Amino acid sequence: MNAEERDLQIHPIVPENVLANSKTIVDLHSLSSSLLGIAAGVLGLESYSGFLFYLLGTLFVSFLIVTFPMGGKPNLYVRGGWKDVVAADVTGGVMGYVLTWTLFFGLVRV
Amino acid sequence: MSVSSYLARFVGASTHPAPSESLLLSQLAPPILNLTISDTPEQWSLYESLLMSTLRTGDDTSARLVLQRLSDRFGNSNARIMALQGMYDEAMATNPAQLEEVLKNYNEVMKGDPTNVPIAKRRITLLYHLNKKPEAITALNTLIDLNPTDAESWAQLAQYYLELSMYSQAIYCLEEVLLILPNAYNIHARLGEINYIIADSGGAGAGKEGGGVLERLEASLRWYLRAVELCDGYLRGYYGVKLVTAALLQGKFSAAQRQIPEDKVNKLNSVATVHLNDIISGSEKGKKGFTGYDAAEVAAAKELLEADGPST
Amino acid sequence: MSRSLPSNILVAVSSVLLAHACYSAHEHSLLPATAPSLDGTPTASSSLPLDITLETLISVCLLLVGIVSSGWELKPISLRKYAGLLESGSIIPGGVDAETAAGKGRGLFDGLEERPGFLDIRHQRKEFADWLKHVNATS
Repeated sequence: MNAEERDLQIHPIVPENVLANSKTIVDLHSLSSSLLGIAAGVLGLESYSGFLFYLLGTLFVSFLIVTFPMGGKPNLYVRGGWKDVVAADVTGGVMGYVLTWTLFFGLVRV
Repeated sequence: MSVSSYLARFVGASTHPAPSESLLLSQLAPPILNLTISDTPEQWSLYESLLMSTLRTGDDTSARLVLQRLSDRFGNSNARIMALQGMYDEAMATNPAQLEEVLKNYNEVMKGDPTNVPIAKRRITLLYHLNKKPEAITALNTLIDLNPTDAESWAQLAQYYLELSMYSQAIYCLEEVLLILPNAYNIHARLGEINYIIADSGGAGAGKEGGGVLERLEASLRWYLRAVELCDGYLRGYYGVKLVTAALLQGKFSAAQRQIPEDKVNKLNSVATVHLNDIISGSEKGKKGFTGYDAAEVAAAKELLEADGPST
Repeated sequence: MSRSLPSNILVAVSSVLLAHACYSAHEHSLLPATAPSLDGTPTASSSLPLDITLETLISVCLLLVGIVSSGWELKPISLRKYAGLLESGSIIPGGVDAETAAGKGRGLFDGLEERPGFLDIRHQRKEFADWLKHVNATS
């Protein structure tokens, strides 16, 4: 038994809550990345600057998640702490972002 | 109100509710029965809880109707429905002869299908109720042989042994429960309680493995500490820690025999006092996050602290 | 999810702002096409005026703050913490929030001590009948 398993035996976790929390975080991220996409489209960002905007936006959202629902203690709600909040569902988030980004880019500049 | 909001009321209640609570739950019967049957799992589990509530309060007409709808949906040969039907029959029986009839009925079913677990459990309960305790325990042991991963049966067997003061058997059963559910903190606390009872009765019930009062108290303290470690703010756990540490401090045990040094016990005692004080004051003021504690348990904890009084 | 009023207002206001920014950007993109500037040099249509850019950024930031702060509930993953909250009645399982459920806290493993499969219904009936008699006698 390695150290991590041992620690899990001494301080057990509740798997359902881990799942529920990560679902909530993924929901928040996909919702906010769509909104970020709207902003990027309106601002008319192109190529690299657009993705840089997404990166900054995601970091901002992660910061908000850690601040509001988690009360500044990410380790209480996700196993990996900070990193897991930022890295939750990156690919899904990018998809939603690109979708609304291109949509609003096209809508605003007919 | 919808099915889910009714269900939440029943889920929040225990299966051993206070009479006043039973009455409230049972009074929900007419509106629940008036809801259209949506054939969802929630609705049927609501019906099941309602059946028990109405039986408890003697609202037999509603119980009959609920049971009727359940058996219409799932058929009379469903094991769970059979158990509910049996429970209804048990409740309706007015004289011992009728109860014997129900028991005979159970025996018939068990002969036909020995793997019918719900009926087996009803039969054991009825046997115990009819004061045929050895038979009930034998039947429960058979059930456990058949189905050794059912924590509920092990816990029930432990309860039966405990009522007969067969402590080491009870401890064994509860340890089996912990093998199935290692995080069941209330079972840890229960083990602590049993060890404390043994120590309190002078270690007499300790059985073959012996063990003096000191060992029993220390074992009890260990179980309680694990219970508290698994569940923060566990009133019963902290109560136990306080109780056992106080006993360890008062009993004049020689330092050489102690496995847990006295200063550690002292420290644990004061930690438990702090936590109990927190819970008591929070619960009495009705503070948010303290409303779930049982008033009787809080009162008992207060009494314990007051008895301990100025020494801490 | 219990939404709080301030975040609702924040979400509403910033949505309107974002919509306005969107509309402004659209109008702006039409401008150079329909009315070229007087000196004939085409204005750079790709660069948005500073006010629209700021409006977009601020409204999105506020919208995100509003959404994230609108009462998303997370549950503690450590058993110790979670079980403690259940025991003390801070969380009631089954999606009911603590304010509406006035009942007791329910532990995770209470079933092991109540054992519904072994429910002694006759005993409980008797208990209830006795209680009812007692209540009727005292009142």
